[in-house]
Amino acid sequence: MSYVLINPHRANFYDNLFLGIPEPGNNLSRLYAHRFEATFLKRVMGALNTSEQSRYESVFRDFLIYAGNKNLTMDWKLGLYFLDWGKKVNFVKNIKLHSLIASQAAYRWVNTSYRDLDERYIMISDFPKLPYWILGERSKHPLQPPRLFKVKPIKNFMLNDINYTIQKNISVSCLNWQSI
Amino acid sequence: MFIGINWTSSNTSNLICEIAKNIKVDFCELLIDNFLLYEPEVIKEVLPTHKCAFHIMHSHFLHRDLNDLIEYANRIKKAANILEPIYISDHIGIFEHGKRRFPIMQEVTYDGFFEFFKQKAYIWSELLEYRIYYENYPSFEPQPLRQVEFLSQVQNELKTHANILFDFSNAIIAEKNGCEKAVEWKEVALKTKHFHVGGYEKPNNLNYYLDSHNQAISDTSLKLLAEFENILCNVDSTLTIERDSNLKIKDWQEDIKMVRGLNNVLCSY
Repeated sequence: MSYVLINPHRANFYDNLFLGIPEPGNNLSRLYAHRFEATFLKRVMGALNTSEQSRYESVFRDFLIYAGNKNLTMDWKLGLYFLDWGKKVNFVKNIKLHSLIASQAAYRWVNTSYRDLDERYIMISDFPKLPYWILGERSKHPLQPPRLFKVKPIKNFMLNDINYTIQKNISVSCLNWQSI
Repeated sequence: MFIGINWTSSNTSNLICEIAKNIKVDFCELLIDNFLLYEPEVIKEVLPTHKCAFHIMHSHFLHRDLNDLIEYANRIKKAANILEPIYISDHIGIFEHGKRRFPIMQEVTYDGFFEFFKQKAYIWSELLEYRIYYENYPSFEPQPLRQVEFLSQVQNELKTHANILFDFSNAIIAEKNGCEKAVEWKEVALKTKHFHVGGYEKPNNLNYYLDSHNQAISDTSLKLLAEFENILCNVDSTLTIERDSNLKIKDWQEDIKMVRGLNNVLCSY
C-alpha cells in the first residue's frame, strides 16, 4: 500500500525549498528556510556564531541550489560535496577552511551510529596536494567522544572522487598522529 | 511519577553523569539512534540511573525499506534486551520528499493517513516486539483533521501496538501556532503514562514557536502540568525534562527541582 505523505501543494513547496527558491510572503517558507539552512550549515561547518553564520548563509544557499539540482544526498557526505563545489567556484581556497569542513565531515561520519561496528576509521584529504589527512576514529565508549587526528598518509593509499576512504584496519606504523 | 532527563549522545555524557550525581533523577531517556554504535553492556555500565527509556528519532519507519528497517529493529532489540527500557518511543513524521532529505522531520498530513499508518505501525511494533509510544508533534499550522483527533484514534484502535508519548510543551507550541488548544489533549494524556516537557522559543525573525529545548520550562507548561495532575500522580508515570542545547547544569537542575516540587505538592495525600 502506498500513500502520498505530502499533499501536492506541499510537494511543490518542498521542491522549491530545496532549489533555494523561497515563496515571497510565505511565513512557512521562511521558517523552513531558516531551519533548513541553519541545520545543514551547522552540519557542514560545525557550530558558528551569528556573524559567521550570516557570512556563510548566502554562499551555502547557492550550494544548496546546486545540491538540489544534482539530487545530492543530504547525509554526512554533504560536507564533502560542499568542499568539491567550493573548490570549483573558488570559495574554498585556503587550508584552514578546507580543514574545518573536512574535520566536520569526518566527525559526522564517525559519530553516525548506524555504521557497521567493524568500520572504525575514515580518512579525508586535509587539503589538495598537502601531505596531511584528517583521520576520524569511532568512539568505543559513551564517555569517550570520537577522536580526530591529523596524519601523514600511508604509502599507496587511494582516494575516491570526493577524497575520502573508509578503512577497516589502519597500520599505525609510519603514522604521525596529531590530535585535532 | 518517575522524572527523567534526555541523554542525546556521547557529547553530553559528562553533563548527564554530573546532573545525576547532584540531583535525584529516576531515569535517562536515551536518544537510542546515537547509542547503537556501542555495545549495550558498555552503555549499561555507564548509565547513571537505574532505569532508562529509548527515544527513537531516525527509524524513518514510515518510508524506510523493509530490510533496512528489520536490521535497524534488530540493533535496537539487542540494546533493549540488555537495557530493559521502561518504554520505547518514536515519532510520526517524514524525513524525505522524493530523493531529497529534509533537515528535520516534517509533520504528516493526517487526513486519509490512518490506514497507511496502521499498517506501518503494526510492522514496526512487531519488529521491535514492543508497543511504541508516539510523540505528538509541535505543529506549525492547522490541518483539516487535527493531530489530537488522529492520535486519539491511534490510541483507541491500535492499543496493543501503539500509544502516545504526550509532550506537554509540544501541545502548547501547537496551540500558540494556531492549532488545537493544549487542554484538548487531556483525554489522550489520560490514556498514557509517558510524558515529555521542555523549553520552547519564538526566534526573532520568525512567526512560529519552535521546540528548541534550550530554555527553562515555561509557566504555561507548568500550568498545564498542574491541570493534568491526576495523570502525573500515577505512580507508574514518567516525565522526561528535555534539554538539547544551551546546556547549563544549574538551569536543568532547576527545572527538575521545580517539576518534582510541583509533583510533590499536587500528589501528596
